[in-house]
Amino acid sequence: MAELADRHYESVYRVALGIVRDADLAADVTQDAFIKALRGLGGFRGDSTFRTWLLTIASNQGRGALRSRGRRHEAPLDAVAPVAAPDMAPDERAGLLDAAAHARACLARLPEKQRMAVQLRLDEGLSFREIGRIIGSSEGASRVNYHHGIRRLREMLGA
Amino acid sequence: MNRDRAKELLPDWVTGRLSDEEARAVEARARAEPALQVEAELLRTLAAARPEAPDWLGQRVRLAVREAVEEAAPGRQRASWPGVLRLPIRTPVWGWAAAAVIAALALGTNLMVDGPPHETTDPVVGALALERAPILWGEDDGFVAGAPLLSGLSDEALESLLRELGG
Repeated sequence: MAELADRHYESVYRVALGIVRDADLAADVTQDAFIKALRGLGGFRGDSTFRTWLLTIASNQGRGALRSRGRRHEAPLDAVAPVAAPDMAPDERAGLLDAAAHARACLARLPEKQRMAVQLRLDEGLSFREIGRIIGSSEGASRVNYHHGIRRLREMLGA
Repeated sequence: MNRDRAKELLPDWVTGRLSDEEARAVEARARAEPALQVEAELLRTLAAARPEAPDWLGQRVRLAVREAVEEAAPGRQRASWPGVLRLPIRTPVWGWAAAAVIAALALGTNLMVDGPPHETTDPVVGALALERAPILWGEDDGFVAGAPLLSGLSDEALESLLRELGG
């Protein structure tokens, strides 16, 4: 299990972060997801990859953490990536305005399923079938969510 | 490669997950389709800011997993000495029992609690011993203080305990 932790903790963290959008809470969720996976290992039926199963647990843990802490999914943009901060030094501000960070900030503003579909497809390289398992959609719906997400991002970024 | 397939593989292409052959096919298609180029550029920009887990998280997860494995193991009581040290917090029954044994050994008391409470002279030992009396002492094991308690320990843990007690 330690080897599996080494192999997958970064993906689990990213999924958790995509749900909770808070670095500290995402770290807690990552740890909890592994413990839950360990305790529920008998429930892994092998009808998905272990990674997909683990990421599904992480996703559910993230939603549970949001519920238990009374947080809403619609986190303010500056809680995810501070794109504009007028009181900062120009060079610091220029760094924050980096195109990649800005794109990520826009991604964070998408509805959860669109956001997660884009993130899981791009960052984790998952298939739409696997994405559907994790976000609780069909393969077709996760594909639609991905394409809607990309289209929304292009609109937001003027691309 | 048709357009839809190339579009679907764009995330894998920009992140380098495709074979050389697939990558060439997607690239050729993207070069011919400006819309695909734009989308690929967007994905490339996003990929450049992929969130990374903090450095310490891997170690934290490993430790938590290891601890959970130890807790779940059937031979949890046969933990090494540091594990025994944690027992008073995690398993109060063992903690109280171990405290009673150590107190009895340290005081050199022949601790038998078959009699009524007033026969115990030391109030501290009396309280500890009485609380766990039925568990602590079997009928014939009293001549070796703590024998019933220690029977579940591994040889290694037992040796460590005896060393600590100067035995």
